[in-house]
Amino acid sequence: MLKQSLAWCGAILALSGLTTPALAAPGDSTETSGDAAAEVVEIIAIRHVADMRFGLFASPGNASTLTVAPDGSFSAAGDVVSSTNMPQPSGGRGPAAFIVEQAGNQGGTVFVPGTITVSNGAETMVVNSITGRLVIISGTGRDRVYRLDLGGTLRVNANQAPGSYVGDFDATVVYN
Amino acid sequence: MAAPGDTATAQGAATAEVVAPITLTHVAAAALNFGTFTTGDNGGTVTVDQSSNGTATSDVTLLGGSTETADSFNVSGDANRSFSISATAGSVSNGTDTMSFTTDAPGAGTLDGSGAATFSVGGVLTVAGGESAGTYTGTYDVTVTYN
Repeated sequence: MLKQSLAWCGAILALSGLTTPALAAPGDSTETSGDAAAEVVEIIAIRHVADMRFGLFASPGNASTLTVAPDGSFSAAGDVVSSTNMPQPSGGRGPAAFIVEQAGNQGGTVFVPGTITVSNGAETMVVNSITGRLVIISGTGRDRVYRLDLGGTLRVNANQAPGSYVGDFDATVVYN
Repeated sequence: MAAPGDTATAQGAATAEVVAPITLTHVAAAALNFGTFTTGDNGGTVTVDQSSNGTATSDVTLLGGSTETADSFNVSGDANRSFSISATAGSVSNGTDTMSFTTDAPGAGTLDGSGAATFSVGGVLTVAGGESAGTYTGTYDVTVTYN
């Protein structure tokens, strides 16, 4: 599976939306801390705070796309455009967000999927063109907290079955 | 490769809510019918309200036996969701003369628990006076949009 990475190093934020071959698959990692990490890793954490939300829209007659950008901007193309002004569920549309904590001047890379599949139990849609940004939200120097915002493009099929669609995905941070 | 202690994973989700498309259907054989009338020299108007009541003004006289009707539409879509309605003006012609009309549609409606709704459209026909006798026909457009 192709995965995408966002890397940063020390206090300098390096953003890349590049699609890169997987260096670490979720199955290669564990949330259990290694006992040798204490001397260089004070805090290792990534925490989910918001889902990637494409909101509510009417099933289009022709294939359409909905795009949520990491900065929260929203756009649509195709038949679905005509229903994008409908009242939105609580929380509205928006990018997924994760809190990433850094300590001890570490750099690292966050791996996210290249595609996410959402399902209503019967039909599916694909989210791809996933892009991200890391925003420093607190901290100075060697101890900082970042927010990772992830956007993507939802591919809506013609006559997509009504329903609530959801699909889980993992964001894995690998510290240098 | 990274050691297990150097990684952390959190799970997120992508979500979307798809609702049934809104569909507007013209009731077969229904029409906005301004009835049968004489124009007189000075014309006037024929008004048909959403309940199919017809009235004429000025020199226009609806004839006995004239039937005026509002037009009828069916809407289907997401249950209990509201929608807006817009209807254009239009004109009718017998191939020689033309009369214009405006439409009178509800501004909005709400689909019932089964995702169905109906509404009617009336209108006002403007008669100049002296139009040639005949059968006049024309069209107009109605659009429904989810609110």
